Amino acid sequence: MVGAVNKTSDFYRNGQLLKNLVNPSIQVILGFKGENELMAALDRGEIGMYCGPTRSTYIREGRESTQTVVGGVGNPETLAALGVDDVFAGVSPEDRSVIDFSQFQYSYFYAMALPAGTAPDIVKIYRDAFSALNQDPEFIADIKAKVPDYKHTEGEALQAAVAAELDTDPAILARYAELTK
Amino acid sequence: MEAFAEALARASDPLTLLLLLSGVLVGLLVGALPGIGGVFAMVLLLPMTNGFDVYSVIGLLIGLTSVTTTSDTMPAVLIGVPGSAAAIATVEDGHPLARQGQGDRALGAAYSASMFGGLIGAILLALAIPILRPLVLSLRTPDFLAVSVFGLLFVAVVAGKEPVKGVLAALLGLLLSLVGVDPLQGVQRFTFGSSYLWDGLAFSIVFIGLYGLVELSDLLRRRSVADVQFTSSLPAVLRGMRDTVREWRLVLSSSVVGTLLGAVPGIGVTTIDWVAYGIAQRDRRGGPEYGKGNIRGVIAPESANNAKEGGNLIPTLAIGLPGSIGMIFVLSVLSSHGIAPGPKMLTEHLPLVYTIVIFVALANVLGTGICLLMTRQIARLAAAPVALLVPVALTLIVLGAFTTHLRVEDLVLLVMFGGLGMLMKANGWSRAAFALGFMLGPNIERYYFLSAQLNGWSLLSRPAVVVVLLILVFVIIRLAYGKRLQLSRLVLRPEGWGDRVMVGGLFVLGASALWASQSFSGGSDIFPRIVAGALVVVSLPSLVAGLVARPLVGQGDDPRPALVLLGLIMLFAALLFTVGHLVAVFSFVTVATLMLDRSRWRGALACAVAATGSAYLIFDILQHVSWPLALLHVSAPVPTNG
Repeated sequence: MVGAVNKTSDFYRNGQLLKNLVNPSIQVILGFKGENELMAALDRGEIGMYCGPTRSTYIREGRESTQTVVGGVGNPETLAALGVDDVFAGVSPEDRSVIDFSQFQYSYFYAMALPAGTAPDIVKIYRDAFSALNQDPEFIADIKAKVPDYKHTEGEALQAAVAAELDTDPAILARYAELTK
Repeated sequence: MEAFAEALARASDPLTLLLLLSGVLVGLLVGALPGIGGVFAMVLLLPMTNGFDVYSVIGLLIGLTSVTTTSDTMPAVLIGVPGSAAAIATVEDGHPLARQGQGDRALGAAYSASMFGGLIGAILLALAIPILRPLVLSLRTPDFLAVSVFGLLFVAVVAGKEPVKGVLAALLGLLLSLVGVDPLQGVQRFTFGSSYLWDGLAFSIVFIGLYGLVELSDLLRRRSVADVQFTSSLPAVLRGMRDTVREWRLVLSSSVVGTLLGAVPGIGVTTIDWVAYGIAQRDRRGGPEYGKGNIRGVIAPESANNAKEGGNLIPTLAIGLPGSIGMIFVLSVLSSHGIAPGPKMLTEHLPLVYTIVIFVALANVLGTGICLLMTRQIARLAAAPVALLVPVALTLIVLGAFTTHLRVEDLVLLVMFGGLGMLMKANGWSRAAFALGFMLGPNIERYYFLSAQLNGWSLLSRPAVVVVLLILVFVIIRLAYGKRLQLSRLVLRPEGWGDRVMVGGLFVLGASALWASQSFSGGSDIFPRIVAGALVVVSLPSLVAGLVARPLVGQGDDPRPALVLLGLIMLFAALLFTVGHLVAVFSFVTVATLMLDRSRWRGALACAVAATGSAYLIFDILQHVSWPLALLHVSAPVPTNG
């Protein structure tokens, strides 16, 4: 049994990917309230696993038209070490593309964004501030004490990555929708 | 012992104590203001705690969460408006006591009960430490379902003399709790295509309307809080405290129930309060009728809702499952300091756990002490002129509701639930039963589907489920038959136009919801169909009885106070959108006070200044509300870099 939040959650979508690509006997259990409840259910032995972490809602909700990325934090290397490659090792190259698409989220796990249409000079002020913050030794020391694998991505780079992600082959998107239905 | 000694040393650190005291003061303030929850205060305070050690920050949070349920009693008792959901049950007997001129006695009893409840909760938390984890892990999802359904059974307790009204009110609460995006399937239910309703009906607005506006309308009708000459006295406060000590068995049982139910995630404080109220009602020896100023009806919920804080901490510390919304912040602080809840809390972080126990106890003592010191002054509010009280309370209530989403729909919803509350109160429909249905509906639906998926039919083999089902059958039989065979108890005999409007409205609502739920897919229609169907079935016989009965003329309260209140809300809303909130508060309080009593122009100006200052402090300085632009706003130049 794989725990999930609701049908609009990534816990559910990831669970469905696992069920449809790896193990059809998996049962995705809907209705948990969030990651804390999922972890508690794991501890109680009510579910065997859950598929997190939560995907950013950035692309899913089409926010590219309403937001401009300032920058993002989150360590893609650490987050990628979830065993995704091992779990989906046997899938076809086409489905592998779907998995890659689904995992892109982790490269901008905590993205900071401004409303679309924000004047470029205002965006620049925010991006410069974000960049300066991530070069401040005091901030880095503080954040590393709390999140040892902390990394950040500059806004321009992330915006470009999001744009590339949005150009994903429609066939991959259709397959992703089919697998996570 | 070593861990406890370290905890004592940590808890007595001056900075930690200062932060605990700050948390207590802020908690008391937000508790006393209807519509301003403790969560807002936490969001506000947490960013200011960067750089403090984990003990100090936890002290601040525990101080805050532990006492909001102490001070929320003030408006509940004095003007019948609960400061938070935790005081809804207290209104039932606390406010009638204030109307009888015994507000200070009620407050004395409530504060002392809160303190004892908090202390007992802390003691039970301390006793539970060695078995925290196995205790919490022994509970399964069907047990959570059973506890939620158990809470709903207390409708039978609060339904009053006409059980059908209670059942219908609870069904209405259940149905309205289903508005929004279905938490499992993501299907929109009863949203009418409006994104405003996606998250459901805002809890704070519903209850501010249901209780706050109703009591203000009532105040306008009665012209004073107390129906008798009011004098605030220390002996009366002490009498309330003696009441609490005399009812020590009730305090103990309510506190134990509060702690145990508090340990079950998802069981809201409203349920805990009504369960405790139900315990109090079992003893009917002496004293006024419940709902008419029985002091036990104040003591029980106040003990329970402070004790629940200790219970909330049990799953939070044991397995990292927040027992309440406030505990999410405690978890986030622990996490940001690299502390993971779980087994290590009983080993390397044991001093922290003991410190938390000490904080809970200390916060309750401090909170009660501060409240008691202020009781005589605050209780004088009950003697304040209505012309001054209503406009100030109304501005805070309307702004509290409006800042939920900053949308005009907030005000529409407030007025709608105000109207519903007035209709319910005037005709003896239990708002408490509605509250139980509204609070527990989402939990019951979610835990039912989770339990069914996880356990299938073996769900019925869990002892807690079996016990609750048996109690359910017993309650239904009691409701239907009373002491003897009396099927007519299932039919309401509408006595006036109010009952007829309620019954007819509920029937139409149920039928419409039943029809609308046909379009919900993937199982998201099951609960709406069950609840709407029940609403139709239960209301139909009463509707027929109302149609065939001879209509009574001259029933119902004078509608003028309600119309005056509606007019005042519309005036304030118009000012809010036209001239902005601060000018609106000042001009509204001045004008409204003079409208109600032309001779009070000095008081009107003083209250207008005080209300404007309070609104600025609460909503601008502390809450940083991004107000919508008023029609007559003046644009300030936007600063640019360089």
